Amino acid sequence: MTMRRRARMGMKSLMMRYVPGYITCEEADDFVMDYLDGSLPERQRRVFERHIRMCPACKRHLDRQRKVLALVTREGQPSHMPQPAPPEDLVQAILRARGA
Amino acid sequence: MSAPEPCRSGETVLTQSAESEAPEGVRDADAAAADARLAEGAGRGDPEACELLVRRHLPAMLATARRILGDPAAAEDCAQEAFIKAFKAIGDFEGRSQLGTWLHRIVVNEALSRLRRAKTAREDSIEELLPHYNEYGFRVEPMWQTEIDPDEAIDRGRISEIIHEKMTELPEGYRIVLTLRDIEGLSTAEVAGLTGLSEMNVKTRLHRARAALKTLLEPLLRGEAA
Repeated sequence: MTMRRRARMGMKSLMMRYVPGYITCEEADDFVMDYLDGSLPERQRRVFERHIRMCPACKRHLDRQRKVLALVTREGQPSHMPQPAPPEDLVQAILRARGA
Repeated sequence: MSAPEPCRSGETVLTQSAESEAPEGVRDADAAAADARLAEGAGRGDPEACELLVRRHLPAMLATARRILGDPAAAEDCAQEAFIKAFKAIGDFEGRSQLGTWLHRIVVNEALSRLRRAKTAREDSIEELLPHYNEYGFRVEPMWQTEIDPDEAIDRGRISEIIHEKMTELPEGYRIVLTLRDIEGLSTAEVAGLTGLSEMNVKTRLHRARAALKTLLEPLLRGEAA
């Protein structure tokens, strides 16, 4: 890591830890879920977005989390799951139980 | 009482091929109408309608039970019990919701009730799947060499398969909350009501479950899972 990059990281680190309105990655992660669900209150959303603009690692994390959530919500639906024909003995057991 | 006569045909049946050839809106309307006829027939105790109803909805009910319970044998027992309850209550089905939705809710309730009775919810650690930070609270992450768009690079069926496979690796208490909230689409309050957890606990578990599932699915995003 170059001196310049190290200095920049050090500055960012100090800001996130000590300047009001800035948060660390660990603190930002607490907001990810509500942010993706669109339920993060305005003030916290501004703080979170400020962190995301400054932190490429958290930006990548957020993008990937969003991508995974979209995939899970869409592809996890029962209609997208492989649904092989149910075992015939189970069908018959249900019908027998109904008639019992 | 003797078992209902098996039936292989019937005018209420909408075959898979007919469904897949029709436009989506027509298909949905036809399916709802066929379901309404099946529910009405089953309510009268018509064995043919009962059998058709089971054959039509059992695959989805089994899939849902498997997602919640994890164990295929337990899922079969659960689906059977759910159908027995559904047949007992089918007279109360008023058609305000789709038959599939109504049955789905019954199987979800049955699966959760089985978990509560068994009290087997393992609280395996999820920590290793969660993001890591250094002592200053900054994210520590390995660099990725590649990142792909799974939708473009991988067959949809395979994506679905991988997601379901990875979901089974989540500890039970987390998998159930994620399934109910993100896949079944229930609200936080509904999940809390069904699981007996507080809403805050549901939110915490969901947050951790999503982060853990992201870690488990990272190979998919890196193009290593096809």
